[in-house]
Amino acid sequence: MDKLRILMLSWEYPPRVIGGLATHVKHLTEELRKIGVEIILLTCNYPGAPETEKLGKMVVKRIESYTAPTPDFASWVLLMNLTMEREAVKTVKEWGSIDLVHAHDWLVAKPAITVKHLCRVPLISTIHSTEQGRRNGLHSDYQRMIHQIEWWLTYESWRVICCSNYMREEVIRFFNTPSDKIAVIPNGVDAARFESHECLREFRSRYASDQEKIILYVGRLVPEKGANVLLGAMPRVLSSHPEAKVVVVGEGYYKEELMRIAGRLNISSKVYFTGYVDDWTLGSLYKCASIAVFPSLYEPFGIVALEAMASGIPVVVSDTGGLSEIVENNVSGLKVEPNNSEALSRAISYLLDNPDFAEHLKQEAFKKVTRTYNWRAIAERTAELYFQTLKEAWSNPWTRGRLPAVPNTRV
Amino acid sequence: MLRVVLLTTEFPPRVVGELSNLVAFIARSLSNKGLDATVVAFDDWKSGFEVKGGVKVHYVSNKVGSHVNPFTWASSLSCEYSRILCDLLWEQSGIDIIHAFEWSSALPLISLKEAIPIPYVQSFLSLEELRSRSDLSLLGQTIKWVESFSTSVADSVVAHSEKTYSMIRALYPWCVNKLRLIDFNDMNAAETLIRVYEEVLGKHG
Repeated sequence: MDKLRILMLSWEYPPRVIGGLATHVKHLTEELRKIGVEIILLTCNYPGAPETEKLGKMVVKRIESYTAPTPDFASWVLLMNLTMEREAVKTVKEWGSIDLVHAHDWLVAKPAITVKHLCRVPLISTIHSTEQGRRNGLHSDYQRMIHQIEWWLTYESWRVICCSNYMREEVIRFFNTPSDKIAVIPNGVDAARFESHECLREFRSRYASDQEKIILYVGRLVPEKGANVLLGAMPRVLSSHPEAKVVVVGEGYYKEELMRIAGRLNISSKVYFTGYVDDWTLGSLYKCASIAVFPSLYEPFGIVALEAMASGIPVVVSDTGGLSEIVENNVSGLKVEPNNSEALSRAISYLLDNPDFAEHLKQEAFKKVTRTYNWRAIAERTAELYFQTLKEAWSNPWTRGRLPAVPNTRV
Repeated sequence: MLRVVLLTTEFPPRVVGELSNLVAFIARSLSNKGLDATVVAFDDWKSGFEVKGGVKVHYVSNKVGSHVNPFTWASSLSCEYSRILCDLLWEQSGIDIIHAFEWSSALPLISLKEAIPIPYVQSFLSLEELRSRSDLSLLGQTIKWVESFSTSVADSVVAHSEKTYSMIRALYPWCVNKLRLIDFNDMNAAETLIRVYEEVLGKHG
């Protein structure tokens, strides 16, 4: 088979970074193009970012995503989808032919489905998380609508990629997706990115004193990430380890509530909220921390845990979702029961008391990360799935082999 | 034989307002005049294909059942219109004209026009400006944006009443040259519409 031509759709891509999706798409496309896959990536615009960017075999097109006022986020998404769909349709026409469409999450479902039918090419979707999982149920029409768009995307997809077995089970359970349609390909981490960082004293002093040991949390400040569980664990940790200091990296609507919780627990002086930080700062913070804690209640994958493991710090994670699959208890980290502050405090204190054991965990974790979660391996598995899908699709009468990009108007 | 596809959110047996019967009347009239008329219509209870009095009808349902406003409803529905249009293009005898009714059916054409140079006629029975009392609502502005965009993308814009015609002229002056008034109370309305189709096809060569 000659070269693959992929139309990829993602609502975020650097410099537009909202969650982990932008990083995922950046690394995946970087490695896919290194192995010869041609990609056109359509994404939303961002102040200062070029409208069109050529990166080797990849072209990034950023669409105007704020064209008209909309009443809510979902309406904005669907209006943005209309603009993305226009650009996608124009792009495939210009490109002559594409082999398949790869969509990331419900936020680009509509343009992906339209291009699938317009070009008669298979659609592959990656479901990074689900509305039902994020919200712990479906409690409003708004949430049900997003859930149904997610279902619709999986329904129209030839193959569905999930980043963990946990997500696979969730997709099967929530959307009734046939299990043979789902491929599990994990997220990855660029371990080399963290090697160059170091913990400089002056940098460290911005967050903690020389005597303090940093307990690092990285993630969006939303209830499902469980930062409150970490705060709840700290009074016990501090009673035996007064040198501990929590550094909370991230933003979110739950931030003020977390600050109030810290106040109520009388540990405000031992908790530092950094807000958003850039990649360099985050890399350095990983190097300065003694322990990284990811106490999520819901976590489809948990890429931040991989970053911490790649940076060489011991991790404590809640035994849930993707985190549970990444970390092997007592081998590459410690796992604790979700939403259990007491168990979490014991795990943190244990690592602070046993530096040799912490050292062992971080070495094993680093080995696992570089072996299993490197982006090259992930891109190869993704490309393999593309080829396998095309092999099936081209023998299907619906696609009728390779076709021109769009149908003729008169047959 | 001229092959026309009509896109509508209302078609018998689904009757909400006057759109349903109007589109049924137009489709029947076109068919009687010897055109190959196909209707792609939303229906929440029916799906599939049938032929009604010489008119081919594809009923589509919305794959997304819950919605927060008419725009999200029309957006997800538009993919089903696109799917049928693409199937007609890939598998059947092609399409000469696509005629969409109201903003809610315009969405698929706004994007497909970028790849498929099929003449596109956009009809309005009414406009958001005339319907909505909360002119400044965000939803109203979104719908007006779609209406506005469709008038710029369409090859011809048809108003079905004097009031709508005047409002389109006032709000969307860029489409005045391609704007036509066709009142379906007029006995010759079907002939006038066919002339509009021919005019648009002529421009497309």
